[in-house]
Amino acid sequence: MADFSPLRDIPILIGAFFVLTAAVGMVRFPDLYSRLHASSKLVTLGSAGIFLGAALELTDAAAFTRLAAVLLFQFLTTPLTAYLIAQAAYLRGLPPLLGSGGQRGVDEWGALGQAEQVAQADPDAQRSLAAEGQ
Amino acid sequence: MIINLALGIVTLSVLLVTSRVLRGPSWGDRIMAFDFLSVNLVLLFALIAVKTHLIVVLDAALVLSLLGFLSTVALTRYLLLGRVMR
Repeated sequence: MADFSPLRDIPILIGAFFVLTAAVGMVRFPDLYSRLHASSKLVTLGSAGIFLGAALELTDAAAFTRLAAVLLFQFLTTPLTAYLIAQAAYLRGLPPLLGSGGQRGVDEWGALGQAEQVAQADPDAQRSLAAEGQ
Repeated sequence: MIINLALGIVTLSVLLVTSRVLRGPSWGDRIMAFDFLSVNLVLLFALIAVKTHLIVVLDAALVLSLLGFLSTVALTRYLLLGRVMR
């Protein structure tokens, strides 16, 4: 507590708090999809706080451009990876825990086990399957 | 010092999510936790750059964020399609 500079320390503490909240949510939530919700949103907010605090501490043009690049990249890719993981798990047949009737394992879209159909709808995968058949 | 406190908090979250990597029920959980670990490593590098005032660590953080995104995309593609590239 010797050198407390609020312009640097308050965003870093807020960001670290949200990262810890994301970790607790990822450990304690019951479902893959709810864990993805906690992970993607809270990690984005926490990394924004930590990078903002770092940019306010390192008052340098080189550090600022690197931090802005990393922050922009995190903002672009964190929802994208969450979407990719949810799509892959759902199309491989992992049912959501809370379905339409509030029962366990109810799949209200009926898309269980459609990974092969997705692979055939994808033209790259279709060409790959045709090449494997030959 | 507040930076040490933030480093401890982020390290605690890394340890918590490592338990999710080890006992994740599905492979989606493990990929998600792996992505979270890579993002947390980027945050640790940013905090170390603040602590030591070294700009070089931020280059490592940038490269690590790129690698984490690419590995996550490859893992989900392998999980969904059974292969990474054609």
